[in-house]
Amino acid sequence: MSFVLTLWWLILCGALGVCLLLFADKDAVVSADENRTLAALPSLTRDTILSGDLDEAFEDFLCDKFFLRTQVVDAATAMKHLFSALTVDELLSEGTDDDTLVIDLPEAETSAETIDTETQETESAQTVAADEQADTAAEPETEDSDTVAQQVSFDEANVWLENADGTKTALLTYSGEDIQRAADVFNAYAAILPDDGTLHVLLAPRAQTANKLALHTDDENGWSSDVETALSALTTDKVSVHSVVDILEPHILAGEYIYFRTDHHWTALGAYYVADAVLEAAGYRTVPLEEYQTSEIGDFLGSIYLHQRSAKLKSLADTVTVYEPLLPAESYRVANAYRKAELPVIDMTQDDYKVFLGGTHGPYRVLDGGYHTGQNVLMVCDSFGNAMAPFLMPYYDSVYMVDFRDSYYTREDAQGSVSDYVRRCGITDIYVVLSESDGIATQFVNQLMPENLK
Amino acid sequence: MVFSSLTFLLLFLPIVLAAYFACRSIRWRNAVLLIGSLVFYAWGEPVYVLVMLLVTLIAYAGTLLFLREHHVVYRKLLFVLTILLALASLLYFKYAAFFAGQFLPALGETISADAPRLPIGISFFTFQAISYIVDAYRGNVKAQKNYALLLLYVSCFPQLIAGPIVQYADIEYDLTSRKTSLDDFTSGMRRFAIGLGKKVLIANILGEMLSNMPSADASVCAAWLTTVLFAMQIYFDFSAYSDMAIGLGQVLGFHYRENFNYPYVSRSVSEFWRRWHISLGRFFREYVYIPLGGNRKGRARTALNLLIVWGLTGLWHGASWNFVLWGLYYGVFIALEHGMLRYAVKRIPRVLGTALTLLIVLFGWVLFMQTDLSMCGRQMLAMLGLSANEHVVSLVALMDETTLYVLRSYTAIPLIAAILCAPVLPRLKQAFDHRLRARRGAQLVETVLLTAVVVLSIFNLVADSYNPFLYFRF
Repeated sequence: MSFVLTLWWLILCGALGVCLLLFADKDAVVSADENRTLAALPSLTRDTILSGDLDEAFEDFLCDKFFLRTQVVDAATAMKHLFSALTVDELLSEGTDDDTLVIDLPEAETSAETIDTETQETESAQTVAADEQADTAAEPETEDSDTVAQQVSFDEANVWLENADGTKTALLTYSGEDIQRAADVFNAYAAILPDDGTLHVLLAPRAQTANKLALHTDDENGWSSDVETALSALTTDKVSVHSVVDILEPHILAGEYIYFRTDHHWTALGAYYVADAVLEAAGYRTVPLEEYQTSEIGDFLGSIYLHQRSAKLKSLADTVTVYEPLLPAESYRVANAYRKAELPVIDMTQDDYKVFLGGTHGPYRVLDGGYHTGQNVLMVCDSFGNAMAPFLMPYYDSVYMVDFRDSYYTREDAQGSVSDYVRRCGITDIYVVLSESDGIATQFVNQLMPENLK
Repeated sequence: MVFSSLTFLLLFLPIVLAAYFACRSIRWRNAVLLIGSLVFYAWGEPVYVLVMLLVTLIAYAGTLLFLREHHVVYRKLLFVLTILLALASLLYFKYAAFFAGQFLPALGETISADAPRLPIGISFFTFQAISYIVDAYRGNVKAQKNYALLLLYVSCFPQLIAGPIVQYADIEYDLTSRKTSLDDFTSGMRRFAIGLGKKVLIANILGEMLSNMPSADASVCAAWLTTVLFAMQIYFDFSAYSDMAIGLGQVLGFHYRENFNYPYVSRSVSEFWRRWHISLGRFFREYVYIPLGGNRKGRARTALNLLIVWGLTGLWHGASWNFVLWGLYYGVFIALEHGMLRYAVKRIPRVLGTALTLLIVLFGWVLFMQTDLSMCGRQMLAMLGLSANEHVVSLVALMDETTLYVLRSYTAIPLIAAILCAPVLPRLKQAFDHRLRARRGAQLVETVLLTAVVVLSIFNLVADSYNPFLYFRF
């Protein structure tokens, strides 16, 4: 019995090996899940044989082209997590101070009940927006039709990967209801700003999404998004929706290091490009990148690595480049609209993404960059805002930040609503900087932002 | 190629075994095994396979030459020359740069030569060749007149890369007259599966855990955990490879000696070395310690002999002072156990003996793992709760965040590994063997578990888990 079983095992292993050689894809293909290019069948040349590289390259090929590889990798990862006292969420958040990797994309088709609920909530959000407009409008007669949220119907909006053959693949899909809901929230926030204030909306893809383009630049033409178009159509003039996808596309196609390989965040360079584009569009003469002094932290292994613990990903460890503030800057924790404990702007004691601002601190924080422009900005953001905030300092007296997620924010700590902070801190602009994990159709936009507005 | 790779598991092993068992005569089987072994080695070391062929040729030709010589002095001269030539490649690849770097500057010479890349397994196959030369010189074995058979002894793939160091006398008969059986095949593959699981599912994960640890002097816990993890990783890594080698040897009809016997339950340092890398200890005992006079020439000479043997044992592990110190460290303890502590060792309670031995071994692993001696000192101090900066000694923190995080990330594996370091499984097997009904159940459970182990090992290899092999560098 044992002999027969052992023999079958050997035969099975041999058959598997031969089938891999015969039927597996011999070309290098990209795994967006693993954030790297999977190995191709190595070519048998004199050089590869004599160098001894064939051994490793062939092993890489067998591992990377193993049948049902994704499921096998998931099973191996799950097994590792099984023996860990940490939950998956803890594994991710410990190392990176941030959100979960796996996001729930909204369903394409929403049930009738959900639509009813959402419609009611949308109506309530619109009511908030309308109330706010009424409260803050200094000159009610100027509230013409342009500033009233438009009612435009969209079935859905997508972020697209544009294939070389002319077809498109949806990377992210949002239903019309979700877009409407987000638009209502943004309108409500814009309504609490002074007349000349602007609410900038920046919805950033995570590295996993961006790398679907970055790793496929041979096969893909680019990416595009109709989410911003849909949002723009539903928001008032005080809301400026920027397409992060469009801003970053040329840099991704140029192979620039704007997203980490082992972490889901953008790099400071990616954050700079987005900030720069938004500020330029707002009419500012922006600071060239070359004027910033940089320092680097090597061997950064972020959330994607922590999730998979792949040795190959480990060999692709990231380097965190930090752009130093142009003038001496200060940062404080803020509660009840008052500055409290001092916090770092750049924390070189950290060896990961937390080098930016020393990670997220709540309930609010403020960055003072030493500039006097008469304007203050509030960033409603998740950790994607941390790399971006320092780049806003030259254009504002103070850069306030708030991250509503439970780990960092409670209303009791804040001792005031966003409206209170806007009024008391003299906020002139708001930047909503959210990754796809906290963007449209998430608890952050649908629940946390509305409930903390007033 | 290594055993814990898909190339080996899915292609090499099934193909070689199919070809091997398709042949009926021992001659053809040897041919298959020799070709397979050369491919196995050349797959990762296509050029250095020539070094192995050359070392074997030196052993082959030299032995035939000195055995043909009747004049005692010339015979001895030829023997010494053969040994030196056989050792030459090992000395060049492993030690030349180290010794040149140590001693030439003292003579006013400056060199900037980097050490050449070390051919995989050179220490193992060189020692096997030397074992053959010495045994033939002593008349313990007959000279092998067939170069291919001698090459098969040196290069046989199960023990080629990481041992155990097989003495020629042990498989002289097997080379030409071995038999295979279904029982040997089954139990050999079972042993291989156990080794594969130990390597991939335990040693690799311990290694991954170790790679995520902070600097070993970060806190007391970091220092101890780093040391304990390394101790378990190197044990599971190396003993797993020995298990796989012994298992494959059994499948092919060879019967290799055991190389490990649960060393961490030893009650003395001497016993530890009778249970750890047994084949290396045996080699040094038979070919260095005994020729030096062993313990037959008084206490002082015995102590000196022990220090020489252990200095060489350390040096065999690597051309670095920390390895030499590591060897001498054990030499001192073993000399003490053979000398003034002889009676204390015999009378000490087993638990206390085991605990003390474990402590000595753990501090020994610090010497082994840290090639930087200052880091080695810092880790040892941290294990004692101290840190020294610029001659100021202070207390080090008990625990640090990273260590705690690593512990929480890999909670169960170190515990499982620690349990398996003790002979729990053989005891269980023994208990089941006494009850026939339970034994059948145990066999079924064993079959299911080993199947799961193989599947999970393949899954882990596919998922590209951390897959280093510590004994490659030797």
